[in-house]
Amino acid sequence: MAAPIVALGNLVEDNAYVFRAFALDGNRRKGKIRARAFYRPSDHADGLSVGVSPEACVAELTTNYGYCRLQVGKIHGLAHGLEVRLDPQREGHALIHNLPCIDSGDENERKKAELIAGKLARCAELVTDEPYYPTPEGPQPHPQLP
Amino acid sequence: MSTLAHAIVDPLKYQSSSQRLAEPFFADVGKVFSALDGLIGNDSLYETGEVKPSEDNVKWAKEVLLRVLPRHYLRGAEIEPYRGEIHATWEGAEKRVVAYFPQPNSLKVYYEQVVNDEVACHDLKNVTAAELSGILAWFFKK
Repeated sequence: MAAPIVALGNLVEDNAYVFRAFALDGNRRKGKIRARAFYRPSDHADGLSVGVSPEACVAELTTNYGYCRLQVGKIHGLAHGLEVRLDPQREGHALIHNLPCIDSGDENERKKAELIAGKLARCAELVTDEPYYPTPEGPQPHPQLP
Repeated sequence: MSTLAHAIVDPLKYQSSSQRLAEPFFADVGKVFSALDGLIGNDSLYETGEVKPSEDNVKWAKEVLLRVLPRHYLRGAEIEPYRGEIHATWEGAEKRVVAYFPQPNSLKVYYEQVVNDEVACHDLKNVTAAELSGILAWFFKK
C-alpha cells in the first residue's frame, strides 16, 4: 500500500546536514555508500526519508546498518530540482522531494533515478557502517567526521 | 579416427573437466546462482513489508545470467531484490552496471562511467542476454 501523502514543510537550509539510515546491509559495502541507499520506491509518495539528526533517521527502523550524512546544499546543487523539505507531521523527519522512482515503468524516470542515486551516494559521507540504536537516555556518541 | 568421431565423446567416459567445459565454471560465479536460490527465503534482504520477487522472476534471472558469456563476467555481481524486482549490480572504481529484472521476460540495464567525479556517460536500455554480455565486456575493459 502506498504511504500517505504528507504536506511538505519548509525547505531545509543549504548549510544544514541531513542523515540517511542504511535500512539494508547491502546499502553500503567495504566503507563505501552504494547508490541503492538512495533508491526511492514508487510507494513512497513524497520522497526519500532523511532525518535532521542521526537519531531521527533511524527512529522508524526496527533494524539499521549505520547511516551517512549529506550537506543539504550539495543535494540542492545537483541540478535535478531536488528539494530537502521538513515533514511538518513528524519532528526530525525530512524528505528529499522530486526524486524520481527507481521502480518506475517509465524508463526515463528509472534512468534518472539511478543517475541521481549514484550522485547522492558520491556526495554522502559515511558516518558509521555499524548499527546505530540511540538509547532512551539519549543519543549514543557517534563517530566524528573531519 | 575422423574429425567428427574425435569430437563425439561419451560423456560418461570423459574424465578431463578442462576438456569437457570450454570455459571453467568459477566458484564465485556459482555464488551468483546460490544468491538467486536464496533470494526469496532470506528475510534480511527485505525491508518490513517489502514485496519479494516471484519464483518465476528468479527463474528468469537465472536463465539470463546463465547466458552471460564469458562466465567470468558474473564475478563480483551483487544479487539483490528490490520491491519484487531482482537487481544484479557490478560496481568498479569508475564504472557501474545494474541489470534489472522487473518481471519475467523483461531485462533492463543501466550503465555509467564517472570520470573525475563527473558522469561521463550513462544510459538505460532494454537488452537481451547477449547485449548484457556486451555491456559487461565494456565494464571489465581496463
